[in-house]
Amino acid sequence: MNDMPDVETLSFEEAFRELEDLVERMETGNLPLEETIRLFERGSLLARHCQNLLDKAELKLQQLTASPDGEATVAPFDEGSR
Amino acid sequence: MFQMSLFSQPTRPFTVSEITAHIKGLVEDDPTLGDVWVEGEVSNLSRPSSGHVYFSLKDAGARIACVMWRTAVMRIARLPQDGDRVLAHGRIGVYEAQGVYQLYVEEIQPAGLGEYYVQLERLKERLRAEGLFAEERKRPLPQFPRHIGIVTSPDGAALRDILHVLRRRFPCVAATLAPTQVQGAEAPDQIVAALDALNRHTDCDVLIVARGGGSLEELAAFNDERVARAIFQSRIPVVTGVGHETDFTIADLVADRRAPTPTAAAEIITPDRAELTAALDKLRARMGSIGARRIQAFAERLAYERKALVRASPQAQIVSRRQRTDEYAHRIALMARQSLARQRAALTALASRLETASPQATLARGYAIVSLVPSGSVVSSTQQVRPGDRIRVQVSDGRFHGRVTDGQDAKESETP
Repeated sequence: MNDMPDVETLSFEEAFRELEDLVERMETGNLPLEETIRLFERGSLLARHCQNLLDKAELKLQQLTASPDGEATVAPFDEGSR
Repeated sequence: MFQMSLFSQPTRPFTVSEITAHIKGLVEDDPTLGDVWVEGEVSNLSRPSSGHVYFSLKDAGARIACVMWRTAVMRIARLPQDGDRVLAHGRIGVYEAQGVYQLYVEEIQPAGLGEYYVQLERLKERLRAEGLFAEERKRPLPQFPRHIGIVTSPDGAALRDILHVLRRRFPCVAATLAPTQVQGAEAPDQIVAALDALNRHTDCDVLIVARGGGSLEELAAFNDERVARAIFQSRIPVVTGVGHETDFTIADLVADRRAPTPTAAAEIITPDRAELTAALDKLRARMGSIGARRIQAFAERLAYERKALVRASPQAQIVSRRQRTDEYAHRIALMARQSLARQRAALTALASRLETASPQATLARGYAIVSLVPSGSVVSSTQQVRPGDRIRVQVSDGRFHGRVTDGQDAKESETP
């Protein structure tokens, strides 16, 4: 468990893929109970994290402006002012 | 008076069908007539219930009959009217039944754009020959985008539409707008610079190039060769969403995916929240049923071990095993709290089995714990007692005291 990254830091794709793999492993491998419980605990966290990302995440929006010399600046994009 | 020329005397006359077929062959085998652009004024346009459209194109000196089949009619945005100057594209063919040649029109444009349109077709052919539109080079889009680059006007409806879709379908994504003009002389270079900047300065995994609907002139930037090449060179897959329904821009042809509107482009690159929620529910259910099955198996094993435990009996061992089972029970309780009434039921069953494994239950079945007074040490051997020793006997509902009366083979105690 210690080698697994914190669920909260995962992107949707990482969490979703890990969850798919994990369920697959639970279903195919004849795992000891301890391992099953560990996977179940992590799987529950992963599923909740995915659902939170879908339901609660706020779209992160920024603006990239390139100057003629090839430099680029990134700034927040204010939709309200438009 | 009527003299037949020997030379013109046919060995055998043609039938009308034969000579017409011969003419048809001449006309329709001609490579120029097989693919022509004709400019002229529309007259006598009619559209019978068949859906096909018939008209003539004329100029000061001539007239040509034109037919546009229903399938071609459906592809054009607006049917021309009598008096319109148009540029028609198609082939010349012969209609034997009427003995006429006519232009079979595939597409039709207002004549003012004629020259531009022809140039565009040439550019399209050139880029196609270079392989810019090749299917093999079209790249797959990420299933779950992390970071979307958007090339469009910061003020347009296109941007609003795209952001709306992203929030509705997949809000856990980052988006970077590279603002550009989307029409006018500056637009192509700005779009090229925006694509380049997104490729070089961001970790976007998909790009949208978008604009709302417009006329052919307004969409000129999306038919620009520089823009086409920038899309082709983009390391990141590009989806176009240029609002127009009847025709493809060159940008659409080069893009990895083409959508008919900005909204559709945003939908193509994002998974749908409702579908993902359903997929998550399914994974949760699979996981839950495996968990429940495993707990059931564990409960059975526990019951088996309890029997072995009762046989072995020493209290210390009971305690240590109980601690281990407590630990399991604790983790299972955590798990059960997270979901599923099913697991809760299994847990209840488990708890009642643990109860029967406690020393209290053993006492209830008639066993007793004997200890010496006053040392309190538990008597488990005849070697530990001598006649006259005071003892305490614990049974299921309390305890009483007694005294040892016999020696090492003593088997009874008497009450004081």
